[in-house]
Amino acid sequence: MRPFRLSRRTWLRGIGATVGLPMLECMLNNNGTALAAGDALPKRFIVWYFGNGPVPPYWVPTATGASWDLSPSLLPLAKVKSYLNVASGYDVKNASGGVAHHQGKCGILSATNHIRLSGRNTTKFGGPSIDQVIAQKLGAQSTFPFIGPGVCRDGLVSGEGPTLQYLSHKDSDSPIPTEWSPQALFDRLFGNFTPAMSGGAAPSVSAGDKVRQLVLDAVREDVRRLQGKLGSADRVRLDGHLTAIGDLQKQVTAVSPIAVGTGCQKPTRPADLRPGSKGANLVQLNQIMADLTRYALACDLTRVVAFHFSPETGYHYLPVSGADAAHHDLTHDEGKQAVVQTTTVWTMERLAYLAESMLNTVEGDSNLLRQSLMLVTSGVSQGLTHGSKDFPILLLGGAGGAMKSPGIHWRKVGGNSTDVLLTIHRALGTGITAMGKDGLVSSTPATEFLAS
Amino acid sequence: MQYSARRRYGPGGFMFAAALGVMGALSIGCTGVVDGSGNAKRDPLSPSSSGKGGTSGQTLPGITLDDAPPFEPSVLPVRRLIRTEYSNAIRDLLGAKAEAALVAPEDALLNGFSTIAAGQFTVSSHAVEAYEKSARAAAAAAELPPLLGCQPATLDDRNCLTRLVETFGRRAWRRPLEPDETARWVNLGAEAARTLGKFDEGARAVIAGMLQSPYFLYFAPVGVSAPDRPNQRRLSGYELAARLSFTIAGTTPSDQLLLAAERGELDEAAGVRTAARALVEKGAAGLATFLREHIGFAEVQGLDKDTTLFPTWSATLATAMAEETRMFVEDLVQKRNGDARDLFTSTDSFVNAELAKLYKITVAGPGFTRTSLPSSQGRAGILGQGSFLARLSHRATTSPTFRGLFVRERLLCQDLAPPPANVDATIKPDAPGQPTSTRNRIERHRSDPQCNVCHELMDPIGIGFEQFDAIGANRNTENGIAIDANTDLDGEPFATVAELGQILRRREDTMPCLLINLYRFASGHNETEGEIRALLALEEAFKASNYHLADAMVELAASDAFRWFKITEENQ
Repeated sequence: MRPFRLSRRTWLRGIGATVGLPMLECMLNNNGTALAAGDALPKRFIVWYFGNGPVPPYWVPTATGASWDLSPSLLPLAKVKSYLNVASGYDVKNASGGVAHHQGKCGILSATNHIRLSGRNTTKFGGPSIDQVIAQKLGAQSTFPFIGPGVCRDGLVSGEGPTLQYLSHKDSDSPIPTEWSPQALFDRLFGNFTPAMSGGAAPSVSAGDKVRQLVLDAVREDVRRLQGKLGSADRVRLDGHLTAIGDLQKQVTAVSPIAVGTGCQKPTRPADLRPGSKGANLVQLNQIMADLTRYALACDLTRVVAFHFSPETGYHYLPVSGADAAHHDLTHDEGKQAVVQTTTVWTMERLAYLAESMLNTVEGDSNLLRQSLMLVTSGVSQGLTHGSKDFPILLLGGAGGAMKSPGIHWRKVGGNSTDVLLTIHRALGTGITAMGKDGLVSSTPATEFLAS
Repeated sequence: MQYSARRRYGPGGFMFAAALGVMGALSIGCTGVVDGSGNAKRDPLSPSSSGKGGTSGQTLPGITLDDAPPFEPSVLPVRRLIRTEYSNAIRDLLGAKAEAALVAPEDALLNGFSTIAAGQFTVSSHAVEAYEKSARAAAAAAELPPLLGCQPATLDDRNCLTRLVETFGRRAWRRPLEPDETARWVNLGAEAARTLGKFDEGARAVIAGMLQSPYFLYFAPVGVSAPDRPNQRRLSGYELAARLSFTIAGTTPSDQLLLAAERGELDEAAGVRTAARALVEKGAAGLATFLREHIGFAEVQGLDKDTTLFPTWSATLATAMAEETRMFVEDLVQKRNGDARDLFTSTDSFVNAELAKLYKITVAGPGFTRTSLPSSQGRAGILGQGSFLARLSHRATTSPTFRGLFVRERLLCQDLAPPPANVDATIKPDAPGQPTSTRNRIERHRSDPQCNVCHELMDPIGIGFEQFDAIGANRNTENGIAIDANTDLDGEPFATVAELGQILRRREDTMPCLLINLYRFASGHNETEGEIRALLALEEAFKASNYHLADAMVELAASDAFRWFKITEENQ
C-alpha cells in the first residue's frame, strides 16, 4: 500500500496542514475505490481486549475450515460473520514460571515474556504491544497515532504493575493510560472539530493556537538542551517526551474539516458516564465509546485503536444473571463456568455493537469493517485454569480485502500465537515479517487466513 | 534496569533485607520444594542461591558493616514529578485557584511506588497533553501582579517580562536561569503578547510554557564533580534543595531553601541535615504520600460490596475508612513523630458517625473525632482498621490469602512467587444447603501440594483476621459456625489482630522492611548492592531513634546515598 497522504492538489487549503485531515468523500476517486490522488483507502487496526478469558468448550467452533458455524460464545457476531476469522489451538508459548494472567496478556499482545519486577507481584511488558508497533507504521499520517478507549474501568488492577494496568505499551517502560472518560475522549478527538463550512472560506489558525505552537517549540528546545547534559538512557526517555510534544503539535495544527462524508460527522458530546454498581451503565458506556471510536476512524482522526473493553484479572461486575461475584473471582469458581459463558456472550454482544456499526459505515465502495482488522483476545484461555494453551483469538474485519471473507475457522493445535500476529502484519502491509522473543519467536504467518 | 529478587548478590530489592537478617528474605521459593517440616525452601530455580544458606523459617546470617561491599551510590535517572508534587508545586507557585484548575495525569506505580515509575517510565502523549492543558489553565487562573512586580509600559515590555522570567523561572525551575534561557523565554513572551494583543497574555504564555518545561516537570540532576570520587557526582545545592523538598515536603523548594542552596549550605551533610529537620518539622507531607502508597489505604474507596449482605456499606463509609487511616498515620508519623511500631499496635482511631457505627462505638460531635478503639474487639493499628480489612476482602467474603499476602510482602518484605499458570485454581463451592466457613473453604489451598507451598505462607496469617468480615465489622460466627481465628505467624501463635500487631512489633524484620520501603520511595529506585552500607547505617540510626520515621527521613536525606549519584560513561 502506498502511504496515504493527501496531495496539495487534492487539498488546497495549505496552512501547513499535511497531517490530521479527515478523509472526506470529496477526496475519493469517482469509483470510490481509492482516494482521488490514487492512494488506496487506508487500513485500520483495532485490538479489542476482554479480561479473564472465555470458557473454551463454548468458545471454540466445532467445525473447521470454510464451512463452520458460530460457537455458542460467538453467536452475537452473526451479522459480521462474513468478516470473522477464528484462530484456535494456538498457544502463548511464554517461558514457564510466569505470572498467571500477566504472561498471557503480555505474550499475545507483544510476543514477549513479561519482565518480573522484584518485590510485590508486579510485571511489565517485555516489548511493545502490537497496537503500538502498528501505530508506528499506520499512525504517522493521522492526527492521533492511536487512541485507547476503555469501558469496564472499575475492575482495573493497578497494584500489579503495568502489564495488568495498561493495554498499550510503547515499550517496557512506556505504558499508555487507557481513556476511560467518554467526555475526555470526546474533547480530545472532537474538541476542535467544527462542522461543515459553507462557501469554502478557510479558517486561519487562531492567534491562541499560534501561541500554543510557540510555547511548545520553546518547551521542545528546553528538552533538547537538557538532553545534552544527560546520559544515553535519559536522552532516550526524553526523546519520548519530544515525540509526545510532536503528537500534540500535530493536533494543534490539524485544521477542522470543511465538509464531511457520509461516515464522518461530529458526534454530540456524550454524558460522562461511569460504570454503576454491579455493572450498571456498561451497555450504554460501551455504545458511547464504540461510537466515538467509529467516528474517529471514519474521520481518519486515527487508524489504530486499543479498545480496553475489560481489564485482565479485572474485578468488574457484569450485568448478567448469576454473575454475583467480581468477574475474576467468577471465572475461578468451578461451579459458575456456565455463568462465565453467559458473561462471554454478553461481552461479544458489546463487540458486535462496534463491529456492526463499522459494517454499516460506508467508505467509498467499501465499509469501515472491511477496511479494518480487529484482534479480539484475552489474557488466559480460561480463567479457571489460568491456561495459556488454545488461546482465544479472533481476527475480525477485512483489512481492505487482505483477509479471507467469508472467514474461516482454522485450528492448529499447539500452534504459536505469534504466527497469528504476523498474519495481522501481513494483512495490514506493515512490512514486519518476523517478531517475538524466546518461545514466542516466529517468522511464519498463519497464511490460511489471508485472501491471497 | 530491573533487578531479580532471587540473586544472592545481584543488586536486588531484597538484598538489603537479607543483609539485615530478615527472615526468608531471599525470596520464599514457594514455586519450589517443600521440606519435611512444611517450610518452603528457597527457589530452586535460582542457581546463585543453591547451597548458600538457610531456608525460610530460619534467620539468615546478617551482614555487618564490615561485610558490606564498598559504598557506591546508584545512578539517578531523571524523574518526573509525581501528581502530588506537581499540584503542590503549582499551588505554591501560583496559588490555590491555579491548583484547582489542574487536570494532572495520574501516577503509575512500579514496585509499589509512584516515584519508581516516575523515574523509569517514559512520559506518554496523554500526559503531555494533560500537562499542556493544566499549564494553560493554571496560568489563566494565576494572579499576575504579584508575579510580575512591575507595570508593563508597552505591549511587549521586555524589562517587565525579564523580571517575570527571572523570578518565576528561578522558583519554578528551582535554580537561577542562564542568561540565554532568560533571553529565549523573554522573546517568547514578547512574541506571544504581540500575537495576542495583550501584555498579560504574553506573560501567561511564559508561565504556561515554563510549567511545561522539563526543568519544571522533571528532577534532572547534572551534579557536581569531585576529584576524589571518579564516576560519582554530588547533587548541586539547588538540585539537593529540590530533592529534599519534593521528598520530604512533597512540594517545590521554598525561597529560603533556594537561598540556602545559593549560599552553599546544602553542599555538606550537616547543612542538609539541618534543612531536612526544618522541613520535617513543617509536616513532612512526602511521608504521607509514602505511607498512602505503601499501605494502600486509599484504594478502599470505590470498592463494590454486596449490599444485600452488608446494607451499611456505602461510598461514604469507604471514604471514612480511608480518612481514618490517613489521619491515624498523619497523627502518628507527621504530627507526633511517634514510634513507627505503633502503626501495628496503637488503638488510636479517628472516626466519624458512620464509621463509629461499624466499630460499634459512640462518638460525640460531627466530623472525625479522635478516639481509642476498645481492646475487646482485638483491633490495633492499620491492620485493624476498616481500610485494610475491607480492601483486602472480596465483595461478599473475606480473603485470608490477600490479608496474609499483605503481611508477608509489604510488612515483612518477603517475596512470594506468583500463582503458576495452567493449574486449576478452583475453590470448591459450598455444597447446596451446607454453607461452611472461609477457614474450611480455603483448606483446599493448604491440602493440595500444588497450592500449599505458597498458600501455607499466606492463609494462616489471614485466618487470624477472620473475626472481621468483608467490610471490617466484628463477627463471632460465619454461616452459623463460630469463628476460629487461632493461628500463627512463623510459629508465633495469635488469635487477634492486636496480638499479631505485637508480634510484628517484636520481630526484627518489620522495621527494616519499613525503612527499605521508605528508601525505595524516597530514592525512586530499589536499593542496589552499593547502597547496602549506607542503608545499614540508616537502619542503625532508625533503631537508635526508637523508630521515628521522620528522624529516619532526615538521616536518609543527609546520607551519601541521597546526596551522591553514580554517572555512566556516556555522561557528558
